[in-house]
Amino acid sequence: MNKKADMNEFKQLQDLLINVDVDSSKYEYIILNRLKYKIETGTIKSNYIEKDDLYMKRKFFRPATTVALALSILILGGSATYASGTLDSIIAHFQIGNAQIQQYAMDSETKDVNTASYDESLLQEDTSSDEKSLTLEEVKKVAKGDIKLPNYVPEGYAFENATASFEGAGVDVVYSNKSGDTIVILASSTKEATCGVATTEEVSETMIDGKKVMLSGNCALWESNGVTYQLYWNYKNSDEVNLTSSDMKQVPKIIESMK
Amino acid sequence: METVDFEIYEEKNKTNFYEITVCEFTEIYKTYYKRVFKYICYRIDDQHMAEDLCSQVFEKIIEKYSSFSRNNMTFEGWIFAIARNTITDYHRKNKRRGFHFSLDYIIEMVSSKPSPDDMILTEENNSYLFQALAHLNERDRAVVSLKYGAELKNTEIAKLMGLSESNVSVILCRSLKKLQKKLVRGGFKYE
Repeated sequence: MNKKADMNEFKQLQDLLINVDVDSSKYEYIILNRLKYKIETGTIKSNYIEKDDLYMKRKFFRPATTVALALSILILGGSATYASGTLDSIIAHFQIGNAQIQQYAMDSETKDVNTASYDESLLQEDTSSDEKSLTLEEVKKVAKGDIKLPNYVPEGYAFENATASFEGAGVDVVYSNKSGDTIVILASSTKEATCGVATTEEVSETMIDGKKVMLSGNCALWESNGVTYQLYWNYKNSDEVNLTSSDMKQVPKIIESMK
Repeated sequence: METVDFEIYEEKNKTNFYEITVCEFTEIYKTYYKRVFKYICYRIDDQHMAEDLCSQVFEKIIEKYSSFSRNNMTFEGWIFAIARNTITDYHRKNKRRGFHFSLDYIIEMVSSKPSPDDMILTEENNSYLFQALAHLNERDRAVVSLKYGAELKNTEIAKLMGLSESNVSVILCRSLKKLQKKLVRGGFKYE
């Protein structure tokens, strides 16, 4: 099968995901009528009341065994408007190792998926088992090529989990702290195992430990000894989209420790 | 734990509260129902639970409607945060063990294709797709579900999941590659 046909199937997969019929109409009016009845009869009502400009939750005495599910809405500042339709306003394109970075205009909808790194070898037999969580030692064993993992992580962060794909040509390692912030390192030794990046954030270049490193928002990309690395620093309870100045100083330490 | 009887408190202090009306709720429901339902179907293995979970999501929307603040996030983001938390709670309660896929549910789905052969093909393809989705890890499946089930933009997904936008795009790319492999190996046929 040629590359054009492969690209077509990739697009078809996206279309399938978007258009698959889950037969939602079967239950639509059953649920609606049930909930309308509950509102009309007062069976269900708001659990929040306003008092002195504060929203206070009603407290109900619950048995000790009741599940205590806390609302975990991420409270992030700012509002965003999203353009409808699809606009591919690529303003810059970068390449680092096997990864391609496409920067889009800020007010354009980001391209769904950067398929620029799609490889015709996608359909080669992959005998790797389904992704399962690996320990640090296990992922180091299965990692192929010259993939290195950090010997240094910032204070408070510890290894959380790892997965391997493409028979070890791709590894995904997650470090986390108690606040739920994560540092994710993706390492790939083949083009097949590498994914491109689509972003609306600024892309800059710097040198760290003799390597060219591309920085974009919370992401750092570099190549070393035939391996493409992507580092993502995610802040769980913050609307911060760029690395903080203190975290920026940590990134070189992480990269330098990967020997 | 102390409890407070807010009904008595309200009478004494004339607090304000806002209850969603049937009309308002119907508007919200009709706008978001299909996307919420589809998002749930993509997130869980037992498709028969989708109706129940979808109902739970909209019940929570009714209960928490007064607390929504446009200063914090978009209404759409708020709805899918509720949906996401509902799914999380469902998984936590059920402690997912392996693959609980209901083929019967998929067989019940009827495509709009007139040809019987096409109908069988569509049902089979949907079956393969859901099976492939079940083999993604939880995070990747959540991102794919928010993207293609809930139809959210990458930036909104990033906010909901505490990820960077770049990370979301990479997760989507990798997940599609994995799905592609699973589908092709499983005998999936594109129409």
